[in-house]
Amino acid sequence: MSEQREHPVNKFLRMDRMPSIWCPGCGIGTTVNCFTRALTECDKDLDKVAVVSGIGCTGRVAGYLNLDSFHTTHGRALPFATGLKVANPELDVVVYSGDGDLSAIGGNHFIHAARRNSDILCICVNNFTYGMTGGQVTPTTPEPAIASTTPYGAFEPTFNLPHLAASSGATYVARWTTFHVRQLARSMRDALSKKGFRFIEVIAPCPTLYLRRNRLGEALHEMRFYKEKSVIKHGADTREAALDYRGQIVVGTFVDTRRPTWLEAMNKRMSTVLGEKFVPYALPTREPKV
Amino acid sequence: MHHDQERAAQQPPEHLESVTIRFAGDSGDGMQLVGMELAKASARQGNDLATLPNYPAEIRAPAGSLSGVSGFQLQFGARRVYTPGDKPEVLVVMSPAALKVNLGELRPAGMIIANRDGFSDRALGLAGYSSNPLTDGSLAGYAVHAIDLGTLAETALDGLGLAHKEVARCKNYVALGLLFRMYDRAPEPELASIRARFAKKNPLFGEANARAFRAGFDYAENTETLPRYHVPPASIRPGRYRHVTGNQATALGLTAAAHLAGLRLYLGSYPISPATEILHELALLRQHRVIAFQTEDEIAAVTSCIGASFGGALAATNTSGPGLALMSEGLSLAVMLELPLVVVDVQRGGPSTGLPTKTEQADLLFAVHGRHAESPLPVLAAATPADCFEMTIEASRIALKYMTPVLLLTDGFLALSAEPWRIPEPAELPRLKVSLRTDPKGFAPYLRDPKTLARPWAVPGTPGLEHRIGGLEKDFVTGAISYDPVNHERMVEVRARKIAGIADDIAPLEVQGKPEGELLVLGWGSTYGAICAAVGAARAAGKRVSQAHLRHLNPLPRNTGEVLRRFRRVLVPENNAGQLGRLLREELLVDTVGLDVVQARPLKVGEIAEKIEELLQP
Repeated sequence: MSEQREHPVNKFLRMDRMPSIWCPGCGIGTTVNCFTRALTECDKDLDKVAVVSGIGCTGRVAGYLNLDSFHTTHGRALPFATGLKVANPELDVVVYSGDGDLSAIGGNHFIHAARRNSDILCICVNNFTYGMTGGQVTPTTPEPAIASTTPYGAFEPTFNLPHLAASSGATYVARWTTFHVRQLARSMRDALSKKGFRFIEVIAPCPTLYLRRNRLGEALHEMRFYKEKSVIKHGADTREAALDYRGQIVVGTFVDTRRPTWLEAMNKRMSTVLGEKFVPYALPTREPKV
Repeated sequence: MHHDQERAAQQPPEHLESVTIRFAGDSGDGMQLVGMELAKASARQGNDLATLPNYPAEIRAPAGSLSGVSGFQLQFGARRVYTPGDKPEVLVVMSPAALKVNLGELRPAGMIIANRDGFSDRALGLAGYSSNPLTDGSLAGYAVHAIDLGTLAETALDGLGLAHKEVARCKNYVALGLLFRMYDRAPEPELASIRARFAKKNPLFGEANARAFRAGFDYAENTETLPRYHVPPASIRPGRYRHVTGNQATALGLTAAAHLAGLRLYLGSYPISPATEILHELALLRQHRVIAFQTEDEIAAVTSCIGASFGGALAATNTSGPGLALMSEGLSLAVMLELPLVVVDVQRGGPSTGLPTKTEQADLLFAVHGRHAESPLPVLAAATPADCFEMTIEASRIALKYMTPVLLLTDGFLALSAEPWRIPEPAELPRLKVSLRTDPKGFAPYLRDPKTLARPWAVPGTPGLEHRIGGLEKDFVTGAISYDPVNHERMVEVRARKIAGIADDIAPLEVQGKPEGELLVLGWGSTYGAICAAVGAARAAGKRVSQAHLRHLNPLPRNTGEVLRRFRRVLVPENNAGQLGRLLREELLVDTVGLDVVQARPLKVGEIAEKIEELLQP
């Protein structure tokens, strides 16, 4: 019985980079686990999957995945991914981002990527804080949570990220917590096989900063909390999916629709105007020599 | 009187070597349009020429106001024309405001063609005139031709059924007709071109403008009140020519570079004056393997370019000062990643919003130094509108060969001014060699070519070459993330050495004239034309002065220091407060004399000539 079997996730990871920088109890690793399961299940050609991330704890995901991956600057994962996808439409481009990276410094890019329906899967690990820089308040930190920059409690209104994504035009919007590992993996798998701007928010614990500073206990307590407070409401109106401090967490698939991606829309417009003269923009190999 | 007129009509037109004409009116008066038409007609006639539009930042500034005056200047000649001309000899004005703004630049005893109808009491008041300058004798030193352009248009268009406002809009073509007659140009091609221009949109307007043009031409022919000139063709290299602005040449150069490299072109761009036209031009070229992507801001523009470059496209972006500032973060990322990228900075008057439609060369030090940390990249500058084509290809060549972002500096003057450009044969253009890495054997993303120090370009999706790159420091050999302090220093050094080594791969600095002596005039960027004209004139007058022009500013050509030291003095004319002078002192310990003009307008031939004169005084 001493035979050692390799962990099924390992083949997706750069094992030379282990151990990871993530703290014990951190939720980011859990999401990566789900993501690798989703990759396995949806049978993607891994040569054609590229992962792009920004800066912060979640930004490090790109560094640990054994795929073509890109660790960009703070907030810029989405525009980078946009350019990559346009230059190389055959790739499946996945953006991994944290709440601060995506909705603060990268907020403008977020709404525009959704509006254009860029063909990108965007996974946001929302732990309500900036982890890597020491627990500052983010656009998702609810009142009255303590952060290092809100020592008397956060007081600004927050972004409801699924609603922001949906109202900006995302074609797939879901939210899960790191307690919902099976649902999350399935959601990621489904999203990987769809087209357009797809957004999955994952509520995740940051035991070192957010939980500790707010005296909320260990990561395990947080799992119990997610289990108790989560309500699955598929198709829920995203306006009703806002989060408050320690209140109910509405999870599920909120939006699942189809509209032309940026590339499809461009090709359609050009074909309408230019007719047969126009050769649709597609894979590099099919690009006509002129 | 009648007899005199007949004699005048029989006299052949006077021959001119060159002439500079400025059109000025309200932003909506169509001055750019007719100026361009005269330029095209001059090109058809075989003249060399250069043009420069000058317009306010506002699309429609208040009519009749001094701030709303829009202008277009052109010089055409029977010899090589280097600039749109210093001071015009002929000023065509549609309104008192246009006269007031431009009179100061008109040459002594120059000619004014004024739209007399436009000098109403109200218009005079708006321009701040207490009496009509056309009649009060204040223009006594000039040859004034006050002509009722509006009335001529009305008479000519009578019965066409156009509204009064639409008729008034045709008066620019009346002015154009006058000038066609004055400069001995056949009216027929222009009449055909006017009708063709409006054929699709509204043939009635085509007819109206053609009639207005004819009315102006006939007026000049019948009244014989205007002098007649003939500017013979210049001797120009045979070939197919087109009229090209710097921005158009840049767009064409980027497209050509992508073709020469066998890649797609991705332009990620955000609108900003005076750079936006490059995006406009490229948006039309989808069928030429071009994607022009208008992003949400300049940060996304440069970052999406880096993504496209990672994805295997030739990526480029275009911007101006404030946009370049936003791109600074992304440029350092591109330096760190070592991916090819071409950034065109069309410099404008600053800081901040500054003078957004006017020219300046004040981003030089920002281009060379304006990034955080040790972040060197090559900086190039185009010398003329047509040179933007060549320099864009050169920037792409360096970017692709050395796997580096490259900054190409142009400016508002080059961007908007135009000259005839001989369309090169494809065989004349350099091949841009690109080798995308496909062999996984011995692959490491930052293992360098020993000669160029460039790293391999491995496009995502290439089997066996999965790799991670990012903004964190990398190990010299494996390319993995490394916080090792000695490794960091080694990486900083090799990135700098790679850029410095490009000096061996660029043309040496060439001297026009004697290779040593009393005075060298050294320029960079758009000052080229004015310097050529000033130095050319000085040498024709027997003065001992030489000229050289920098197109590579980082790294400088290897022989720059040596060339500069062979002259007792080096004059550097610039549209900034002396930035190249500082750079040369810093790099080469060579002192120079500056001619710094920061008036958000191109340098004048006359001011360079004066400075040459002053420096050559014993």
